[in-house]
Amino acid sequence: MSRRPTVDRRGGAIVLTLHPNEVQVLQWVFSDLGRMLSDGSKVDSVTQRLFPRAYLDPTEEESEAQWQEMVHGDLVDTRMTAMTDVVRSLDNATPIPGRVEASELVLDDDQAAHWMTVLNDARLAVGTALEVSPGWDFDEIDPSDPSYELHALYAWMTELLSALVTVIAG
Amino acid sequence: MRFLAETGTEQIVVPDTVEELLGDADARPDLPWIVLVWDDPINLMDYVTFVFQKLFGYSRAKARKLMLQVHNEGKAVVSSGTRERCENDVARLHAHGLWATMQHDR
Repeated sequence: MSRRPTVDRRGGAIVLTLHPNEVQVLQWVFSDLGRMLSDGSKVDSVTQRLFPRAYLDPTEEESEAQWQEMVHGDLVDTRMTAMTDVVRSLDNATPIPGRVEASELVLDDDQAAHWMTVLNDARLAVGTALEVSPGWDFDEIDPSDPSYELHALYAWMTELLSALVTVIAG
Repeated sequence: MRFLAETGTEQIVVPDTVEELLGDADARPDLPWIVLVWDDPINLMDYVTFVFQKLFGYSRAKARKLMLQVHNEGKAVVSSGTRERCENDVARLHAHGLWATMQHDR
């Protein structure tokens, strides 16, 4: 996961070029995230970050409960729909003729939008689990840190999302 | 709106309807709620800017200014309106992974 991910616009489409290993890692990450979203029983720092309160004021507890009742299912469904679409595009990653170990994913605007929110959710989940601070810098992570690989994944997903947003926002 | 009476040099303007009576409130509707977005160490600056553009139709300049306010001051008001509107905006922001809350505009 050391190469910079590439995202390009080709005609009306957005094209991600990934190493097959990267495709596989993302499939694992997204399926983990999907399991967590569809389970819904676990309450921890990650689920609290993905599904925050709307009302900070503790005297609005009733409004908070009503709001959660109203939107929580939709928020889960929206995320699962986007996730399913993204995983399908990973399954359809096609090897690039003449290039060794490179696959490309050709996305339309809706798929690209789904990729953006799903990648961001994955970053929120991993970043929250790692308790990243505002000054987080991958270069400062000790390679002997037991979470080093997870930090590397977080850094790589950050690069991919950044490249994707740059292309989508034009 | 019609003119009911003229007394001397004064014109008394009487509204036709309650809505018209509350005309000022119509132009500047009751805004008791605001939506705040809070700074967090994970969301990328460009991503947050894009989400503000996409969800609220803000220009890139305005969206970027709001994002920088979140980043530098810890939070920013990104929308305001009725409770229903704000609840909807908070849900849309949460769907995009932003940390948003709502409260009375005091």
